[in-house]
Amino acid sequence: MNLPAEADPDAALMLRVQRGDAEAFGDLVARWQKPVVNFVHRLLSDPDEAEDLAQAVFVQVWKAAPRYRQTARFSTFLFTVARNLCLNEIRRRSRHPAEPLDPRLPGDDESPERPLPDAGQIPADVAAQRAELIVKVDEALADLPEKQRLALALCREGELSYEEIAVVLETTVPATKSLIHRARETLKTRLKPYLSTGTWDQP
Amino acid sequence: MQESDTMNPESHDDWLDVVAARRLAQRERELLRDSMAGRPAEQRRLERELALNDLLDAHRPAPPVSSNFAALVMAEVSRSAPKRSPMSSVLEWLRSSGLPRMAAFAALALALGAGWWRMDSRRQDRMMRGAVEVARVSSGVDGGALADFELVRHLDQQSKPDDDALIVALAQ
Repeated sequence: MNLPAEADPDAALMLRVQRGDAEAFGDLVARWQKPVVNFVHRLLSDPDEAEDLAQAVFVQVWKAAPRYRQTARFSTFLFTVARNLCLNEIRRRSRHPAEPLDPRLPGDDESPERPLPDAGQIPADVAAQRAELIVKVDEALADLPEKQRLALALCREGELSYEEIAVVLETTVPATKSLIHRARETLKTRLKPYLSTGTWDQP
Repeated sequence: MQESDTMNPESHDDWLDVVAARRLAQRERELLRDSMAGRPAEQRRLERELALNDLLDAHRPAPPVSSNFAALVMAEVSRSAPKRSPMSSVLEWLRSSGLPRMAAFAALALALGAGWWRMDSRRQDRMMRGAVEVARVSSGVDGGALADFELVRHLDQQSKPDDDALIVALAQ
């Protein structure tokens, strides 16, 4: 069953992309680049690779356009492509752990570490606490089972509904809710010291 | 999703799904808190869930996206697009026009027709050969033979008492 194009303007753009409309594709990229980069970043924890992989996601969307069918929202299609590429990359990394997509030499200054949030405007001890918290959250997220991490990233970064996440993960809505709730329970346990006040910068 | 769709303070059974599903506006948070007035255990649980949301959403800023992100994607798209030869364009046009499907249907129909025609030819051939055989046999039999044949065919199959006596006499 096809959804009406009016129900999802992005799907209408994608139908134009299907006919080779590069301008429509540019609009889709502009609209979705940030959520896709965030999603990939949340899964891979590497900002440089996140952008490279996000670009690969859009290239894949362009290539897959002739096969696109308007049976679900465009975002569901987009994040399904993103999910597949992320899983491929995660598995590639697990097979070749010391082989990043874009290997850099030690000491290479081309890609400096990203600055901490507002690092120049906060006291050093608070900045240190935030840095520690970032590491803790990253570790807790990275230790989640793959499917729970995906479900959580689709929910928080992709802002997909439970129904859409279920489609992307090829599972049911109750199973999706269960994945997200189990992930949150694990995170609450691991990050308990940082949750006591309900604010992230006061661990 | 509209706030009014999900933030009904009277129904708090699904609040966990709502809190886990997305970022909540301040007004939505207040509505949820109000809906749990008088239930301190549930209020504490809500606060923990909201704190986890804050942690997940704000533990670090989103990675910056290059200003030329879209341009890089478009460059990659045009670079990876296969160079199309005139022949491939023609083949693509044929594919999209549905002609191959029609051609396949026509080929199938032709094959079925040829098969039926061949079977029919064989059947007619067999009938012809049968007719020739009957004509040949019937032309080689004379009327006398057919008369004897009828005589023998109409002989009584049961032996009679006279026949038995004759057989005994001949045997002696």
